[in-house]
Amino acid sequence: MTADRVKRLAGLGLCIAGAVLVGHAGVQYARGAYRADLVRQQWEEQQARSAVGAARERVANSVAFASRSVAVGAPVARLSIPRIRLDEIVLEGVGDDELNAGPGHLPGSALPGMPGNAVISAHRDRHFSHLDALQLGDTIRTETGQSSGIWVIVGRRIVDRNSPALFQSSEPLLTLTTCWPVRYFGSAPDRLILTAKPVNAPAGSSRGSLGTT
Amino acid sequence: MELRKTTTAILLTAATLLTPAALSAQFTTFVAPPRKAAVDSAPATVAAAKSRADSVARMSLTDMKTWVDSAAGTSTQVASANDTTMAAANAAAPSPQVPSGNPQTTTTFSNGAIAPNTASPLPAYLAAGLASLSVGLFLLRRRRRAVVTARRDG
Repeated sequence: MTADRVKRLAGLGLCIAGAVLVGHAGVQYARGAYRADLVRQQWEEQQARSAVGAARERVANSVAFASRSVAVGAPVARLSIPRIRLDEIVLEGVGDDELNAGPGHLPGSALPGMPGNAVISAHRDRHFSHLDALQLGDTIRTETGQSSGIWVIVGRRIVDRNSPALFQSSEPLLTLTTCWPVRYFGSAPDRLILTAKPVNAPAGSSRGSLGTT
Repeated sequence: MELRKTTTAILLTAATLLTPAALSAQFTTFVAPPRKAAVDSAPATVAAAKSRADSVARMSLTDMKTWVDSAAGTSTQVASANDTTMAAANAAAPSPQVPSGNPQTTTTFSNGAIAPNTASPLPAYLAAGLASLSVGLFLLRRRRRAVVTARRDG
């Protein structure tokens, strides 16, 4: 086997391997974008269908709504952060499929605006790629089927990926998480944790309507 | 005879070149280590005993990272089970359940859970794929250029 033949085979092999890797990543990104569009449509349809009376009823029973389970993959909220121009529909669940399509709401945590800690996570190379640009005092807007709320970032932490990072709260709290460092080749070793509190929240209150508009 | 002379000359040259390098280790200066001063360990012993008795100092020494995290964040504080001061201050806060073993994923919320696994291999796949594709195309193009040059010359 001549050197030319070896080079040709090596070149072909590398081209094929490269094409497979790039193709796989491209397909995954395309699937995520398609799913995100689909979820956004579902969200808008859901919003359009909700009548005023039904919405009022759900607000009255907000605690009951907060405790009910939501199907994994279903849209649960809309998250917008003006500073980084983020406007995404949050899906229920933090599995690969959900995080590929959009920010994921951690099952078992509260919905944004409800009493408790609402945890939303996303990939650092996708929807939360600019999360590191957020500073204390920046605002976040959330919208669920019951209410919309404005939050202000009050905490920014970087923790090891295996360190306890999520805690219960009796008051409404919003926690955004992603991998850290944001620009990192390989599996990121840490997590960026941002915590936000509702704007105009009376001190000591524990009801879910705080900070909602 | 001629071969023996050449061999001897080579050996002498090698010995001349290598001997100083080999001998250099023999002439290093001996530096005596500084004599240890007689240290009175009594203050250190007292400080250690005080630290053991002081629960706040113990917490800051044994669980500094968690303490800083909890102090900086808005989440509930992590109180050491033996720390009466902090435990009293956070009696209402539930103690987090530190995950046992080495879990890598969190699928449901629980107090003290680790953050969900948001690590994605796709950027690495993309970068590796592009690098592999570039090298492959470079190799193929180089070979093709060599073939064209050979045809033109031949």
